[in-house]
Amino acid sequence: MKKFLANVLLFIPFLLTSYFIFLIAWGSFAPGHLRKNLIYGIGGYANMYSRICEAKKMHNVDILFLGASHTYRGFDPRIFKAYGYNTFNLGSPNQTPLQTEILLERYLSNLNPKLIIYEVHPWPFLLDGVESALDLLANDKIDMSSVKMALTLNNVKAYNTLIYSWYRQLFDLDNGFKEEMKKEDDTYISGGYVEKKLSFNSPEAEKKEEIPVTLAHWKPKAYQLIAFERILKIIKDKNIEMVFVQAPVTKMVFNVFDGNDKFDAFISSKTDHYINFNYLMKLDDSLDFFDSHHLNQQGVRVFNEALLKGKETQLHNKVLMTHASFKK
Amino acid sequence: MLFTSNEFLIFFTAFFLLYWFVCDKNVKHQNILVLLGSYLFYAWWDWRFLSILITTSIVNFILGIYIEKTTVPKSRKLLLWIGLLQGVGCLLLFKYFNFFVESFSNFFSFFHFNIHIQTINIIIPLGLSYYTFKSISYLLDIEKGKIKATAEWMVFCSYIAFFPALLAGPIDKARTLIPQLEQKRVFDYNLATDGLRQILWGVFKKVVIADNCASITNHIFDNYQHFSGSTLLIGAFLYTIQMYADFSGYSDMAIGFSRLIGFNITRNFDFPFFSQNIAEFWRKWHISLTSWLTEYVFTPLSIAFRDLGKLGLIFAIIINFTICGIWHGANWTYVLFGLMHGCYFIPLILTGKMNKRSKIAGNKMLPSFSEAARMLATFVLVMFTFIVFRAENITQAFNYYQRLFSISLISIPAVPKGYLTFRTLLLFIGSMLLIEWLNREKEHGLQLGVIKGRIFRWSVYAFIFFLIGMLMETSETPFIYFKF
Repeated sequence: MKKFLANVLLFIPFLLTSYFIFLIAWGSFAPGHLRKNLIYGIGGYANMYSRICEAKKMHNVDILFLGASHTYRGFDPRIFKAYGYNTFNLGSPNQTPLQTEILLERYLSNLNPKLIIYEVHPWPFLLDGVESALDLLANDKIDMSSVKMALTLNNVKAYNTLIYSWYRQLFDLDNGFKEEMKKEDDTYISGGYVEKKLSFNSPEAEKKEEIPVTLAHWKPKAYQLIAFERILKIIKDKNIEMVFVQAPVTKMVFNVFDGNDKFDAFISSKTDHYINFNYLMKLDDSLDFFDSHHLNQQGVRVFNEALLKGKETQLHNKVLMTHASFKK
Repeated sequence: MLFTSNEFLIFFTAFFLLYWFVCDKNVKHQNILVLLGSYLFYAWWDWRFLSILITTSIVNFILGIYIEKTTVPKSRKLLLWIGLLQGVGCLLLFKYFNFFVESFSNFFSFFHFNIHIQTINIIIPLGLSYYTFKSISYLLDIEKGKIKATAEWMVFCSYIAFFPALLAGPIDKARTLIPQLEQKRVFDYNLATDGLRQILWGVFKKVVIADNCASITNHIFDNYQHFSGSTLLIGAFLYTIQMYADFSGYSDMAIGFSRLIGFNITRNFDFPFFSQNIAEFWRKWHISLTSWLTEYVFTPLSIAFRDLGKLGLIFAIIINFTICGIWHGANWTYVLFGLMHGCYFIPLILTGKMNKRSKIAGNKMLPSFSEAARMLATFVLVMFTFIVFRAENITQAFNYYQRLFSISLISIPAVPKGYLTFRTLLLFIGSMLLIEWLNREKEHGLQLGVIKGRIFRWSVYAFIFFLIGMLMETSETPFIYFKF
């Protein structure tokens, strides 16, 4: 038995070292189709690399946007600029509260916003957060919060990508990486926004897509709720005003989800400043969207102006227009 | 608590340490731990079904003692029948009730008699088929005088609930496992290290091969109407590999974990794809079930039908494989699966080759052309039966065959992309089969006796670990045979 245990104890460090070496070699030389659980997408399809680079340099913005794809595709800093507000969009694909918390910890101090607009949607609370975690691991620094995130997710993709990203950062292997600002139909706009080439949603085609059934009964993941509570605390401790909004989606998608009331009640229990734009705006499912979830540039303009002008609701009117420290 | 889950890793590590460091003084302590561990393992799935497991154990333990004590043959038979009724009754109630009711109703509606019998909404307790077969074989063996009833209730309950084999076998006979439970287990270094190797090989087969095959086969079988015959052929091929990798992977893990705690349980697979005919295939596939059926179904039937000569053997084998099929589940597809295999035996029976045994390739590296051709033919025959096995119902199976054997069979397949591409998957399937071919005379694919240096050996294990980490499916996928 002693020999067995000794060998097992000896094998564990051997295994960890070998795993690390194999991972580095595999990540460096193996073709993409063999790297199923190592998703190192520097840049990624939503320009996270450029967004993070900008976030490091930006200081003292008026508004900071947080959230998933509805955020980085839904709040155009150019429109806000036209109204005199300096903004930054820290949204990323499928960003869940777990990643939002890390981004806030890292960039809230230097961005130092006067107001935070957090786009909340029921979906990210249901996600495991792996996709967004991989995006963050590949495009931002690796530190203890990255390790904590990987441990929380306890997912082999997150572990592999964490180790590989750490190795690449350690040896500065991505030094000189220059991200394309235009990727297919997407163009990265300074300030964190991604503009989609104007196209229109085809509701008929969208119907064929399967609407995730999990949305029908909103049961958020426990660790996402814990992270959400921590986000609220971070912002409260910094004494920053925050508005929760739910960006509009197509009526088809919104009506499929029968947990809207439950979700609205949940967010309203956390804040007095919550606006669900799906109830306020009358957008066209085809003309104002490029797919069932995302506004096209025309829709973004309508949505952002509704948010800024505040004609539809007294609530955001109150928050946005009368907040003393925010008004320029 | 899947063998591949973190929960099981924690459970087994704690169990292993307690077993060898706290309970190693005597056999009683070891058995208490085996029993408690097994019940905890089972309750983790669904504690409500623990009562069925415990009741089955108690009833059969008492019956075993009384069957042995009773000298009157009629009374022995009566007690045996009570035991059989209890076991088969549980199976009928939980597994087959709705199937028989619906089939009965459909049969009469065919003749325009509408009979409506209420079906029941019931969950099948996990492992029911496996532990029921264990308890039945125990009583049959006592009644036949092959074994003595154990007087130790803890030994018997541990035999029935033995956790590494509780949910999907192997179905150990009492004469294999009970003697091991009656003796104090002493740690055996070679047995334990080989157990670890077997577990590693099992995990590799399950999470790298089977789960990645599943990502493609599920898509093909669920949308077979949209694919060409050539793609459906690939779907059938991948599903056959998936079945093997999933079930043999599970069995390797079960045997490996048993070895770590000092047990040698029944081997369940002996590289079945290297079989030269269907009889050999069944001697190498799900061995514990095949040998159970051979001993308790086929042999008594072939004796009963011996006056009919070869026809009697054909009857016996058809009945045997029909039971084998329906053991898998309450669906006509499984019945057809069994019947097809039974029919495959007919040429072997008629030519007197059913029990012929041969050693493939001898000591040579490669098989001869005729051996390779026979292996391929056996594989193809088996593959066609797995189409029925995988289908939701008979109609779907026939539609699949119809499309498979259409003109589109001669076309370039358009295999849907799974988590791995088909080519990548083929590379790993080929590697698995090659490794198993090289180790075909051994107990499992990873008995690396040929690699002498420890560093080299450990590097191979570490690389397999790495491949698991790199290619595994990240969401938990249950083993196919859990549902049986």
